[in-house]
Amino acid sequence: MIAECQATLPANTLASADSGAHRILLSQMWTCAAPRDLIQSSGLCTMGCAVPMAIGRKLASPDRPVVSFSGDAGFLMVAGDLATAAELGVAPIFVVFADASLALIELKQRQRQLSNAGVDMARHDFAAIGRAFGGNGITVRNRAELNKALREALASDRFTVISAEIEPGGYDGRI
Amino acid sequence: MVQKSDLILGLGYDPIEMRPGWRNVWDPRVHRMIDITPEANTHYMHHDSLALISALNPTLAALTSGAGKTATWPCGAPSAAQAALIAAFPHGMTGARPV
Repeated sequence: MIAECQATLPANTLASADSGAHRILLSQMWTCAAPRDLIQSSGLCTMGCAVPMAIGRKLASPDRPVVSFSGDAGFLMVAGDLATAAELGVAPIFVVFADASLALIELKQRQRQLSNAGVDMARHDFAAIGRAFGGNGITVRNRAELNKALREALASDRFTVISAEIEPGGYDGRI
Repeated sequence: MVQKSDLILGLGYDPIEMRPGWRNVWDPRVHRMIDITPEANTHYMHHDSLALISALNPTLAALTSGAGKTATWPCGAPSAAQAALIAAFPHGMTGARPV
């Protein structure tokens, strides 16, 4: 998923990442062409920061592609911010890693031999949430679908939510 | 590789997403570690043998003033580690594989 985004999005893309398992993987893989091409919350590990940061980046740099990467729970925390993207008329791409799990906390629980507690969540229709706020929304399950969704999002004058559904445990052995 | 270093520099290093096995990678009683950060270390994810609590740019400018370039890591360990990291993950290519 990350490799597909990196291969498809132009080199001048501005990115933001949320907190959790996806950003560890993303930080290990994402190549920046210039300083601050990727921004993320540092020590505070703020959940929910990637979406508003992408809206701000697009507002400040309307001529450059902007993408945010969020886990599903972090995206849910700020889903209402899509209203701001719609009202400002900006068109960033919001990519959601949808694995129906607070994956990093689940991993930490397992590493400490604790039982699974409070980290599983439901699958929600994030693409429909994007459409409900006036943007584009699409759910993808493989690289070809993600590639098509990214290309359409780049060409759109509205924001796009891309929900990439992955299996719980998909980060195992990778972060 | 970090533990083999004779000097570890943390330049604005602000640890994120730490978890068991990632903390205290070096021992400041054994390794020389200089942390240069605008804020004091209250995260306790690692410890230093010398802390400079200061702005990065002027501090680095002062420390490197008049210093020439010195060869580091003639064995090429950092570039080998970087290459291994890149090789550990998929790149490029579009196909109908799972995301």
